[in-house]
Amino acid sequence: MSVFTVLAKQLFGDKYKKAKNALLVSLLIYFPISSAGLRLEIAQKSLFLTASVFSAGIMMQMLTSKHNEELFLGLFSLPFEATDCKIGVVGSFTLYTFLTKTLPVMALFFALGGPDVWQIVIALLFAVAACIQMAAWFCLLYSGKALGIAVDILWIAALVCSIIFAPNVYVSVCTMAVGLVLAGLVLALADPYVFYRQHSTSHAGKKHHTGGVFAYFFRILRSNVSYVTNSAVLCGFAVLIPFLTKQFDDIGSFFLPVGMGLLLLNTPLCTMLSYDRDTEAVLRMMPGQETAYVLKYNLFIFVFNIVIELVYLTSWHFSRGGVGVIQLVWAVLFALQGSIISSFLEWRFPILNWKTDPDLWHHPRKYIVPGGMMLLGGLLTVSPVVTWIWAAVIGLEIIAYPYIMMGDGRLPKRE
Amino acid sequence: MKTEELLSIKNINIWYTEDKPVIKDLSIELFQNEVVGLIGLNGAGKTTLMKTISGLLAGFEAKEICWKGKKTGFRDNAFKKDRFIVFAEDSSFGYFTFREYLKYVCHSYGVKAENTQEMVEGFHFGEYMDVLMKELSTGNRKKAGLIAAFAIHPEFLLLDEPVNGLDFQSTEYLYRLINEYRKYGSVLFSSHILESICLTSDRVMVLEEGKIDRIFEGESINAETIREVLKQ
Repeated sequence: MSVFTVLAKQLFGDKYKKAKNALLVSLLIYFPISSAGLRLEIAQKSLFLTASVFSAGIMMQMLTSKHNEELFLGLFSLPFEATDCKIGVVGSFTLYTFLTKTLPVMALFFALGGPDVWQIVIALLFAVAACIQMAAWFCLLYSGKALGIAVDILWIAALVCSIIFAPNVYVSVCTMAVGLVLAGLVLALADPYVFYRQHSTSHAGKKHHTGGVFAYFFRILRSNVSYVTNSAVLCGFAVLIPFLTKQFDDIGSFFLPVGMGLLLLNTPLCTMLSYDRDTEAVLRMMPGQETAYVLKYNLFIFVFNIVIELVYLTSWHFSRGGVGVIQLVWAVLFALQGSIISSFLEWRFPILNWKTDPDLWHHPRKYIVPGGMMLLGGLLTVSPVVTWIWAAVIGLEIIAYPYIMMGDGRLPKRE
Repeated sequence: MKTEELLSIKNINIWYTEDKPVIKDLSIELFQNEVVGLIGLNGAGKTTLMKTISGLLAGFEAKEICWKGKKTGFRDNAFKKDRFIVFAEDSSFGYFTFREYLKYVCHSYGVKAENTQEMVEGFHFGEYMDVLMKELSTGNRKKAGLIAAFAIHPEFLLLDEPVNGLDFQSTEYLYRLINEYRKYGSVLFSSHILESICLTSDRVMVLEEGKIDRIFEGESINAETIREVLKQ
């Protein structure tokens, strides 16, 4: 059995069920939207860039996942042929990324953009090429040589520029083809063990000062770059939104609270418990964790939420003005409500049946909080009374918090 | 002579997939201040039973579950307060040091840790007290869980394959701790190593194909005897 088959079976599960489900989801997204006649003008370059950047990002998450250690442990302990191994890893990861992550998202773009077959084919080619090239960039990045990193930066820059600034699509496609050939060369020369990265090697590590649950959370942040990166990106987005929506100045009062809802999309932070299944199990085994752990987790998310909301308000105030007390109240309410629902979902409905990091971070559950809060944001502009009713509801939620959290929710399936 | 009943589970069925029960119609009674060993081949359902009692598995139904004579659920907070489990494989709280982890567990159970220093020395764990748990080896992580479990003195202690990953000195020390634990409460511990069970248990239950197949008590608890009986 080839390495590709072994890994594909592990990733897609019994009878490649995940692949079939992903295809079905993509069709269910594409056909209803497409046949409903909803159309948006999507620039070709934006489409190609989205397909490439999104796929490459997911592929990077796949390759750097801490859980690869388990995935590869058995594989690397057996004799294997280097080329078969590299084709297997890159092929299965690319296929998984493409089918389960890229295709459903791109199906939405294709449905809204209209049925241009060539555009769809090229966009999908860009997505696959981005995954394969990401594998090559990964090999260069972890080759331990400064030259590798420099080549990576130049390569990525060239590829992005070829999509954005190329005079026509042929130039972009040619650059992509050259990139693929280069990727093939890099991968052919790479050591397959580059994919097996141990994340925890020290058994007599550094001694630490004693801290509590908050120290625990901050240590997780320090050790997981993606958590901080996501929050930093949200902060950047918070600064940009007021500028990006300036053209709709006449309905600015509507956009402001909707943007507040959107900024609650802090996925890694809101899946911290699902990410650590052992801790989740032990917490459920111990008494009183609704207050001992989940309440503190809630406060931790709140701190991040309120910082991002305040950055947003500050940016809004300086770019467009009109931020008053009520908007500050909104910021607190959004941050609180977001943290309450996020911690509730993590405790009562954890996501435990994930295999790779992207499975968890791109689970549809992540849209519940920002989606709901954006709708609520729209409602806030209808009448000022809504704000005070909402504040009262949150007050009740805070009082009832330990009781809301009690119970074990979905009773997740465990192996 | 048997002491008062601590936990009684009647006719429990446990499954991961509803049409394929792992545990079938099992009934079990545990008494106060006793050590019960649970042995069985791989896949017999030892860990599944432990996880269910710990409240982690949802796929089960039981005719009756009683804790100290009163009906309970595995997820009731009062029952949780009285029991603690050391899982066979556990990488939880990786970003706590052991010192912090112990403090956290004690706070959760509302108790003060006892005999910690003695156990830290017994398990040769002193140099790892302030190291993050994720940086500990498998054996040291197991020791961390065991020290915490014995330090909080729950009335009911569940140990799932506690010997796995321990060096021989720590294993001997663990036997001593289990044997001394009767003064605090009861222990249910699973293992597929017959000797470890025979050295510590008052009763030995053999789990086979999801059922308690045999129970050994008193003088019949002997590795050779049990091995011979099981071969038949």
